[in-house]
Amino acid sequence: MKIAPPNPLNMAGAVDLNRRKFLQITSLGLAVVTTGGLLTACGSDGSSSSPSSGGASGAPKKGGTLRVGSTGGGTTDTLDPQAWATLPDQLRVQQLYDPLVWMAADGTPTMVLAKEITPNADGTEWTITIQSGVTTHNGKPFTAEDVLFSFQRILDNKYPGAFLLGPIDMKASKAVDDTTAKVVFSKPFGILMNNLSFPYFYMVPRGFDPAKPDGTGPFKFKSFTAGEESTFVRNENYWQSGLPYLDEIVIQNITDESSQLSAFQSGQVDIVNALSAGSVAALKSGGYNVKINESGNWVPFTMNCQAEPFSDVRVRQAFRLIPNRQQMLDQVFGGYGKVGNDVFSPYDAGFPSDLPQREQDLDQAKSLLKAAGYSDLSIKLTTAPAAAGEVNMAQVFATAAKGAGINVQVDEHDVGTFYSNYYLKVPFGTDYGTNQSFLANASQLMIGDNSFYNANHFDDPEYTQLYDQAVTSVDDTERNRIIGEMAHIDYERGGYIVPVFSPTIEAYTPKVGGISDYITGVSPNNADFKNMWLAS
Amino acid sequence: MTTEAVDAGRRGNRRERGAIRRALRGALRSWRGRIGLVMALAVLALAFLGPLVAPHAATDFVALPSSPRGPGYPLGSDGLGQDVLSRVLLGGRKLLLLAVLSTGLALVLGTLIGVTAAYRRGWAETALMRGVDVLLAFPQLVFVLLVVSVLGTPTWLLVLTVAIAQAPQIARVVHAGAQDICERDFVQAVALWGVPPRQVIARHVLPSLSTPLAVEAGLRLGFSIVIISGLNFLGFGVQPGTPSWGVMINENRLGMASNPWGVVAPALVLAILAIGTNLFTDAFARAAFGEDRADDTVIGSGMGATP
Repeated sequence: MKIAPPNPLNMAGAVDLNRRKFLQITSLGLAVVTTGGLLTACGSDGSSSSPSSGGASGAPKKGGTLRVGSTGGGTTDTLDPQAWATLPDQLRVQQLYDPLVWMAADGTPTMVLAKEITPNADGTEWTITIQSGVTTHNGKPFTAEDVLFSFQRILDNKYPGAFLLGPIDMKASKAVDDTTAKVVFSKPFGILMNNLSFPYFYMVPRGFDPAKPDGTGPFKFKSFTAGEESTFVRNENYWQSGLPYLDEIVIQNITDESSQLSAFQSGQVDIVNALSAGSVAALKSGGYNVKINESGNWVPFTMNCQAEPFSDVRVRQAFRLIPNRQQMLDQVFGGYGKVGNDVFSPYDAGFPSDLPQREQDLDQAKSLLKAAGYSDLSIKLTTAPAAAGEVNMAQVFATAAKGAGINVQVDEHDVGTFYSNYYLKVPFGTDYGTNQSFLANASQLMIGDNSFYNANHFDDPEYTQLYDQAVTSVDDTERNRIIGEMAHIDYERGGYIVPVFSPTIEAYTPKVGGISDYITGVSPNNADFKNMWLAS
Repeated sequence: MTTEAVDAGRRGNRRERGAIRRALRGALRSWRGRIGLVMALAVLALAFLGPLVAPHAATDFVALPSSPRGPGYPLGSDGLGQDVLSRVLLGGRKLLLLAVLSTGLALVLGTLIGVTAAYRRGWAETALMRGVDVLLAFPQLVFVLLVVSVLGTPTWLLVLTVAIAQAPQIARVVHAGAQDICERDFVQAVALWGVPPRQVIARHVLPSLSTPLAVEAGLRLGFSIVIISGLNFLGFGVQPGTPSWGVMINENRLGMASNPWGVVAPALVLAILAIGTNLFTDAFARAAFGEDRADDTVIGSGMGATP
C-alpha cells in the first residue's frame, strides 16, 4: 500500500505520514537541507576540535536574547511538536517541549524526560519511568498519564510517530503511578527506545492545544507568527536545574541564503543555519565562527529496482561505480562532509565496518552494462533543489556518467512539481534524508510496498525477513548483527547510490557560547539552545 | 498616378538603400559608433571563437568551489569547482544564437503586423493595432515569464515567446512609418495597376522602411540578449550544468566573496555586449535621422527601461 507522495509545499497541518515530515528536518520548497557534525575532529574544517570549540569561551553566563535566522520555513510553520514539518519548526518545538528520548549530538538515543525505558523478556511490555517533579509551563504536574496521552494523540491523528510505535496496544497500556507507564505491544517489539528518539515524540500534557502551546521544555511560549518569527522566554521552573541560560530566544524565518548572510553580517541575528559550502570563505574572512559538522544526512540517487533498466542488478551495480565520491564531495560540498558507501545510517551502532569502500570504476561499469545489454544507455535523472547540493550532485553525476558511455540528462523541476509528479514514480531520481537510525530508515525506504518512501522500490524477501527479526529482537548485539547483514544486502543489490553524506554548515557571532559538534543534521547545534549562552 | 510616380517610387527605394550605407558610414565615423561596434564585435568573437580556445571543458573539475584565481584557472573556479574562464568562453554562443533568432522572428512578425495594418486600413488596422496595444501593456519580461512558467522552456518556445514579446514595438514603429508611405502616390499608383498587395508591400513599401527597421533590429537584439540572459539567470531555458552567462551570474552569487570573477566576468561580457549594440544602433540612428530624431527613436526608448 502506497500513499500519495507528499507535496512539501502543502504540508500545513496535514497529518499524512510523509517522509518530508518524518525524516526531514527541513524545508518546504526551499533549497536547503540541514546537515550535521561529528563529535571528533569536526570534519575537514579543522577549525574546531573539542565539543565546546568555537564561540565564546569561559563559564556559561545567564541572560540575554539569542536571535536565530533559520532558513527552510514557510507560512505552514507550526508549533505542534508531533506534527511539525520544517527546519524552523523543529528548532522551535525542541525549546517548548521535551521528548522522552533525544537523539543526542553523537546520534545515540539519550534519555531526557524518561529516566528509564526497559522491556520485559520478549519485548511485549515496556516500562517507561519519567523524571519526577516535572511541571508544565502552566504549572500542571507532568505525569505518566500525560505520556500515554501523548502516544494516544500521535496514534489518533496518525502523526508521523504513529508508524514508529509499532504493534502498540494502548488499551492494555496504563499508568502505574505518576512516574511509571506500562506500554504493551501485541507482538514483540525491540526498538521502542530507539524509535522514541525520532523527533516527533515530544511530550504534551493532557488537553494539549497547539494554539496555546504548553509543554515542559526549557523555554515558554511568548509569541509566534507562522513563516515569520517566534519569541520564547526562559522557563524559570525548568526541571533541569540551572538551565536554560538565555532569557529569551527569537527564531526568525529567512527565506534564502543570501538574505541569511545579509541579516547575519548586519547584526540582525546571532546565528544562521543550514548554509552551503559557498558561504564558508566569506564568513570566515569576516571573522565569524563558522561551524562545519559531518552528518548522516544524505542525498541519494534513487534507482527504481522494479523498472528498466535498474530491474537488472548489474545496472544498479554499474551505476554505483560511476561517481568519483571524493570529487563529488569536493565539488558540491567544498570537501566538507564525508564520502558515502551506498548504505544509509553510517552512525548507527549496527552499521558494519567491513564494507569495502566503493570507488569509481568506469571500465567495470561499462562491462557490467554491456553484460546487461545496456551498452548505449540514455536516461533521465529527475531532480529538484529540495536539499542543498541535490541538483549539483545530479550535474556532477551526469558528467561522470559520460565516462561510462551513459548519457544522463538532468531533468530539474521545482520542488513542488517534483514531489507531486515525479517523486517515487521515476526510474531514476534524487531524494534526501537526515540522519536516522538504520532501522527507521529501512522501515520507510526498503520494505517493498510497506515503506511509504521506497523511492528505490526495493522489495527483497531476505532483507524484509531480516528486518522483521531486527525489530522484534530485544538483544542489542543480535539486532546489530542483523543490521550488518541487511547493510550487506543493500550494498550488493540495493537501489540507492549514496556517494556522500553532506555536512551541516552554520555561523555564529563570536559572543555565542555553548556550541557543540553533532552528527544529527539538525542545524544549528542540534537545536540545543538550552545549553547555549551569550557572552556580554 | 502615372509611370512617373512609380519611377519616383523606384528611385526612392534606391535612395533608401543608399541611405542605409550612408548611415552606416556615418555611424562608423562617430566615436560612439566605433566604440559600440568594437565592443559588440569583441563579445561576438568571444562567444563564437571562445569554444575553440577554452582551456577546459565546461564541466571539468579544476579546483575547490569558488577558488580565487590560480594557475590553470585564471578567473578562478565557480560554485561547482569548474573553470570560470572556460565557462565564459563556452557560455555565449547559444545565448547569442537564440537572441539573433528571436530578434529575427520578432522583426518578421512585427513588420508583417505593422505593414498589413497600415496598408489595409479599416477594421484590420484597428484589430491588429489594438492587439499590439494590449501586448504592449505587458512588461516584456513579465509576459515571457508567464509563458515559460506555464508552458515550460523548450528552445523553440523560448525563441517564439521572446519574439512575440518584442514584436509589438516593432509593429508600432513599422506601422507609423508605413502609414505615411502607403499614402504616397507611387504606392497608390502601383496598387491601382492591380499589383497584388503582397508585391506592393514587398517591393515598394518595405524598402522605404529599411532604415528604421535596421535601427529597430539593433535595439531589439539588445533587448533579446537581456531578456534571454535574464530568463537563464532565473533558471529558465537552460539545462543544469550548461554554461550560460545568465546562469553563471546566478549560480556564483554565493561564492562572490571568495571568487568575484564567477559573477563579474559573465556580467561584464553581457554588459559590454548590450552597451556596444546600443551605442552602435544609436550612432546609426543619429547618422540616418539626424541628432534630434535619433534621440526620439533610440535614446528615448533606453535600454533597460520598459520600451
